[in-house]
Amino acid sequence: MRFQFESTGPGGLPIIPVIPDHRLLTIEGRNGIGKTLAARVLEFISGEQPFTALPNAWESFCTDLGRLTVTIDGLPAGRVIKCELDSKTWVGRRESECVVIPGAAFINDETADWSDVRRIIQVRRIAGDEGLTETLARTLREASVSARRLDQTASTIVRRLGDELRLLTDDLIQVRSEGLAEDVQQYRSATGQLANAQQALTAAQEAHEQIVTAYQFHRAIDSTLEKLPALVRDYGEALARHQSAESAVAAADKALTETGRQQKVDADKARQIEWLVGRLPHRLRHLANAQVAEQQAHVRLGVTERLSPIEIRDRIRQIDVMIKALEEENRSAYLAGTVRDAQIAIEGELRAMPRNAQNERIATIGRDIRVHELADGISTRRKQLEGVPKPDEVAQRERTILQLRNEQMWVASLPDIYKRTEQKQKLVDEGTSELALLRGNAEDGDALAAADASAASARRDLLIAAVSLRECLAAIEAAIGLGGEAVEPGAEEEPALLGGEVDDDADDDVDDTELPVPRTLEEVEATIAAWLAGVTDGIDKRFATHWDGAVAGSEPVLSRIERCTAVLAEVLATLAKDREAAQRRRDEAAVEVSGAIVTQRRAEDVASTRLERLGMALRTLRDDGGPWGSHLGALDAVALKCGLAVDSLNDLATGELALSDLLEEEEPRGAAIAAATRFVEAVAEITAELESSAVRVRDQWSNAANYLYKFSGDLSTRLDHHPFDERSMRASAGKVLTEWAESTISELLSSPELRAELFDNSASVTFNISDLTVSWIEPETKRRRRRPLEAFSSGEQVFAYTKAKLERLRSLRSQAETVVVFLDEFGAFVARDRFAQLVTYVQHDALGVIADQIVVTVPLSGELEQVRDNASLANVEAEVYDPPGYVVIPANVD
Amino acid sequence: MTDKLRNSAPVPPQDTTIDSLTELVERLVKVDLDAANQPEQPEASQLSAEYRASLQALLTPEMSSEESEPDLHALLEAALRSWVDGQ
Repeated sequence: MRFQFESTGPGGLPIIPVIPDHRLLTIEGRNGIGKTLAARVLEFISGEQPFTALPNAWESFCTDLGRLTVTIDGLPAGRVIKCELDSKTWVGRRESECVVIPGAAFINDETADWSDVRRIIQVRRIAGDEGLTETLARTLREASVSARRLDQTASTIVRRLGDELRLLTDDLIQVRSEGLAEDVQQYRSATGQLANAQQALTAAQEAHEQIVTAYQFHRAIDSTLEKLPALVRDYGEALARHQSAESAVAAADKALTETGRQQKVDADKARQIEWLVGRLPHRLRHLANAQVAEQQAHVRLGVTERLSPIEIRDRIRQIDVMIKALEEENRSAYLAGTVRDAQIAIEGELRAMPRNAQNERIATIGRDIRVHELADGISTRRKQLEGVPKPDEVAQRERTILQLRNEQMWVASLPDIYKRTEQKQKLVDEGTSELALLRGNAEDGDALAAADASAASARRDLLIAAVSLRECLAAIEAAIGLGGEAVEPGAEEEPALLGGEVDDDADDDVDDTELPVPRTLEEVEATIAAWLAGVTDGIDKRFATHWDGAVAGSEPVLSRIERCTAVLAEVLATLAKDREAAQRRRDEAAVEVSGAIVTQRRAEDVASTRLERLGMALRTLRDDGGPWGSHLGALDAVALKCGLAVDSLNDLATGELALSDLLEEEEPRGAAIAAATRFVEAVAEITAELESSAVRVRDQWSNAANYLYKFSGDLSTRLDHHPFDERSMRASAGKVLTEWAESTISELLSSPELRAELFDNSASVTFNISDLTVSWIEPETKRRRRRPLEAFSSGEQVFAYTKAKLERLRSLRSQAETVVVFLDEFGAFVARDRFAQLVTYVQHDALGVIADQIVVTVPLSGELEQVRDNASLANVEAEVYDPPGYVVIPANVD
Repeated sequence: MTDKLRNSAPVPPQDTTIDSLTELVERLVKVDLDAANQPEQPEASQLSAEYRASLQALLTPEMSSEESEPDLHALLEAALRSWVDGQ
């Protein structure tokens, strides 16, 4: 057969252009001109994969060969085969794929199937530079390359599996059984501790308030005792003034009576005068009362003169502004109170919503929140905030606000108070004028009018004295009227007229009673003494005896007041200490509550997060249209194995997982939640195991590829060697790999041809990987022979091995009409003295039996012409091809 | 399930090297599993040995072809059932 190689495109690898049609020929040529490439191209066309163990060479073959046309003629029946190859179409593809249809094939210029081509001709290359060891190494390297390719395929699949599984398990992987019981217990414990701390705080607050109340009670008594001596003295002086005024009234009345008797008026006037004389004292008294009330209001408000309507309005506004500012400060300084106020308002609105609206979604915070959940959540937090103590400055501002509101009320009442005074003044003025008019018409009217004016003046003085006396008494009664009750800030009396009489503005004709008879000083002191005795029950029990001793006795009340004051000083000192201690306990309890709140909230957050994650996972797992929708039946079975009934599973997946489910140890939903957690975790583990199983397979492909790569490289240093990731393998895995390598090599060595040529026709050959030795039994002597693998590199052994390889090709004759064998690079490793023997063997035993044409390639031994001349000396007509630089020497085999 | 998956994927062309390597990897996986299932290995899965064997046998030949891809949902269903059976 004649082979012609023609590059039809730019570039391309160097390749010899022609292999002439001789049955046996030797090509002696320069290095790098493409002798071996020609043989490999023909192998590739024949359906072989010459680069299996040489991935880099395959890559170069694809990239650099270019467009090449191979023409084969000299075939039986005069057929001509033409193969058009374009290596660019192979780039990025595997050799095994490309070899199936490597390009376009023609037989006698007709398009042909590659299988038809391969039935006509098969070409094989036997590398003369490849001894037994190299062959074994190449075989293992081919296996390594295959394993590496499968490793890469497996990696791709594992990556895809991982991506898909992650989508399935994104909502599951954060659900963990580990620590669930501890977290739930922690939540229960923290919640219980918070409740206890809050109770303790409430008790401490109550105790503190009781002590404060007691202190204020005793302080009020002390204040009263402090004021009483001066009040008693004032009362005595007012009583003296009253008695003096009474005497003056009596004298004036007597003079008026005498003058009246001497006057003559008609009957009608007499009745009018009598009525007015009787009425005027009452009008004067009411006027005095109104004036006192007005004065008292001014004292309370700190003003000395009447306020105008504009001033009143401005003052009310100013107080409004102050109150609002204080309220705003309190809202900022006491956030717990501010939040609680908002909570109460919101919770009230939520609770007031209709029953069928309670399950509606009202907010979305990570998940949908329903009305009743929000109300419950606000209620829980509101109760927690109840334990947060109110700062002292906030309480102080609240007291100030109450005082301001009281002051505002007094300011607002001023117009009525002024009006009342003016009305009373008008009545007095009218009565006085009318009386003067009536009397002016009577005989001796001037004298009578003068007497009457004198009497009226005296009576007005008496009334003023009476009012003053009443004020003193009222001050005493007000002081002792505390009755031991705490004085609440702002709890001051409503503005009212002094004297307690019925206002008669509406009906001036109503008779009034006479002024009451003033109480004597002794009576007032007796009242005070009774009050001292009366407060005994309220005195701190530790000092009750002392108090009783101070109150008892017949001494003047002022002496007893003095003794009581001394006792109270001791009581107040003791109570002040008690108050400080109670305040400390209250503050400590508040700190405990704050700490418990933090702990409880942290535990609640942990539990809440667990429930949230579990709820999300369960919803994902039970979603008909979700990624797990096609596995609901299998998931039911997993749930049952985890102790979770399907009904419970559905209930948890569709309902709400509430923290309250975790609080009670015997709560059935708590047990279901624990089982559901195990269920989710089991599903996630099963899914993860699926991926890890695939990873395990992939890793073993990688292990196998790495091991074979390394071992083949160790056997033959001529193979490509690149650093690779030597992953750690279990010792047992290493044993499997070495056993496989031993077995594979032993099988290769046990081929009939090798056994015949190298191993004395032994029945079997064994390879030992630990020392790289080959052993077999010599059939005749039954002696066990053992040789190192490197011993098969001698010239004799290479020759024998080459013969064996040729023998292995014998079966090709049954597959194709024509078989061509290249003995490539011979002469380099076959011993010189064996080369002629090899050619003889080829000529007589291989040609025509194993192959129809045999091409031997050797390196150029001299100049081209010299080689040609040497051949002609042997009567052989050699052909020189220069360029590229080779000589074809046909052998005479006929 | 195994048969179903095998039939769903085109069987890639095999040669003796691939067959031999596949057997090698099957043995390596088994050795690895046996080691992983030792009592002192807490990460050992609770999936049944039968499931592991079928999964490994399933993946190995299919991975020899890039065109074929394991049926994830069938694998998952089998894993869930296997876990239940193994409990």
